[in-house]
Amino acid sequence: MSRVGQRILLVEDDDRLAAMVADYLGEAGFRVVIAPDGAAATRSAAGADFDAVILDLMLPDADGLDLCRAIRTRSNVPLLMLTARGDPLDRVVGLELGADDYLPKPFEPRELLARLRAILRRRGVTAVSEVLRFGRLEIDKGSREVRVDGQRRTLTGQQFALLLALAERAGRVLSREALLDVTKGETLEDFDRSIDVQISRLRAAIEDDPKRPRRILTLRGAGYVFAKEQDR
Amino acid sequence: MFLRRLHLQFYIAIVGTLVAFLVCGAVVWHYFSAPRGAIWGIESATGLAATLLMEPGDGGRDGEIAVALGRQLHAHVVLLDATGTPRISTGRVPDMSREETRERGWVFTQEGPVFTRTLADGRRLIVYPLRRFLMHGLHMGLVLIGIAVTLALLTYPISRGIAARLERLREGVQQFGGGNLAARVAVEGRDEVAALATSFNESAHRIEQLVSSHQLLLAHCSHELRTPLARIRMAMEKLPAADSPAGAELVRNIAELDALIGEMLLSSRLDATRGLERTETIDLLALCAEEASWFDREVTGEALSVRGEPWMLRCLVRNLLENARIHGGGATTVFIERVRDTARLSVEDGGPGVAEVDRERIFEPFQRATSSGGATGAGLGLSIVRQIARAHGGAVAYEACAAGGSRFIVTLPLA
Repeated sequence: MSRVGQRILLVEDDDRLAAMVADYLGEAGFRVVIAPDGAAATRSAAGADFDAVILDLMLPDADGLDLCRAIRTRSNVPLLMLTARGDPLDRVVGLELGADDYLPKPFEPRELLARLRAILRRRGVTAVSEVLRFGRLEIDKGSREVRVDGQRRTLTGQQFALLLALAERAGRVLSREALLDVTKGETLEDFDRSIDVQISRLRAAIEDDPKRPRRILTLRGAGYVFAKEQDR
Repeated sequence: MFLRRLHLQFYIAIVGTLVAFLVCGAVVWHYFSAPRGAIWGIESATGLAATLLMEPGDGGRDGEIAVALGRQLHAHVVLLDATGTPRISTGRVPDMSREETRERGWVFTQEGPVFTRTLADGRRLIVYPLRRFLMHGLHMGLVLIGIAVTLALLTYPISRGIAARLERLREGVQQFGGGNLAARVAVEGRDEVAALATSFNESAHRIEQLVSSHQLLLAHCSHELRTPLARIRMAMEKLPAADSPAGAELVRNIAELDALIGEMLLSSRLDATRGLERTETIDLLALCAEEASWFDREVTGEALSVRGEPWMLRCLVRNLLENARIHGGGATTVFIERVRDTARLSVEDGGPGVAEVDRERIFEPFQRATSSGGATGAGLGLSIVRQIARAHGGAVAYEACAAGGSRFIVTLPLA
């Protein structure tokens, strides 16, 4: 997946953790440069081209959010925030300041790797097309592609239209009638099968376990809801 | 306000009003009231003149008597004949109705108080002072009441000025108490109210500093605790037996510690009464369905909108479901309904329920029902539920289910 030798700047004040992360990422084929504080990070970021930056928000000499903003004003390098504060507000602010993703400490090493690869891949695409992201699920409106963990899932045109209708209204309850209304405009063929059948096929395509759906949820008597927060 | 002391301001306002009233009253009394002697003098002199007028003689003396009477009394004198036509007059004839002229004694006319006396032959002698006065007790009372009302109106702004600053101070204190720790009050004047405002501002500043340093301390604690957790987790990747049951137990404990740190942070954040920061309109049914899906539970009820911070409400629902899972063998019903202008979320479980004595205690931090035995859990879950509900202007309550389980009811105001 990742080109061998991609350069990562790891801004982390805890040297033992930084060493372990560098070691782990090194095994995965990355070349990692560690910056223990804000000043070193600024120097390193200015001196060399990195393919991605992993940034701890809590540094001894600087506020990670300021650093994030500073890096963002200079370059479009993929940026993954790492923080122990865990206040969901930090995450919102961080993403607003231009971070591409966010991972709270303590993290699963494999998740760090997956997210790092995801932001690197996204930069590779530099999507002009609009992409909806829900945790590990990506819905690419331009290419009409759906990916889970970066892997393409095949959907029919109808299914994609239905998924898009759901995803664009994530976090809201949609009745079957409302779904029929919004999807009719999207497809030329009419729905010969009921919405429920389409939903169960969609689930088979994008849910990790279609029997225990986490993304498209049924609300008895009310309709369906697309989960807004699939990130955990 | 140039007076330094509040009690002096009050004192001077009271004394000043009293003095002003007395001065005005005395002036009115002096210029408009009739001295008792003058009234008596008019009455007796007029009686004497009436006797003189009845003495036999030519009509020429009547005029002399009237003029002399007027001069002596500083009054106008009018003599009416029996038909009511003026015969002798030293001034204007007061405009009196027929009825009034028949009376004997004092009558009030446009010319002021007028004294009349009917002679034995039907003629009437009318006397009224050159200088008008108010003699009627009611008139005098009305004038004094008028003065009092005027003074009351004039002194209102003074008391308002004193009280308005107290009112502004109260508003500031209320804002602060409501959670706006940055609220300060303006210091006006140099009296006790100003001193109070200054000391309030100082206390508020200290409290704000304490709370923010407390928050900072917690944030650092969180960092200090979570970094070793992250190291443990990283180190486990190196272990050959990471996938063994012992490894899984380690991972679970890391997650539990992490959750506990998160709950303590959240609880202290809610305690600091900073209030809600990024609210949006939330479809409560959809949000509950999402959270419930992680517990493999379904939600029923109405799609209702509430206003709040999504992640907090998620945390609330998650904690209720987690509580049901730990203490009640999992939620049996998650139901949303509209009750008047609130959204009502009920989470029921099929567990043993909570004893009567513990029903309030379970919402306290680190308190759990005495009957829950060895059940696990940090003991912050339900207290956080209550904190979040209150932060959103709602409440949480416990109810016993008819079937024996617990029912937790959260009410939130509709958006």
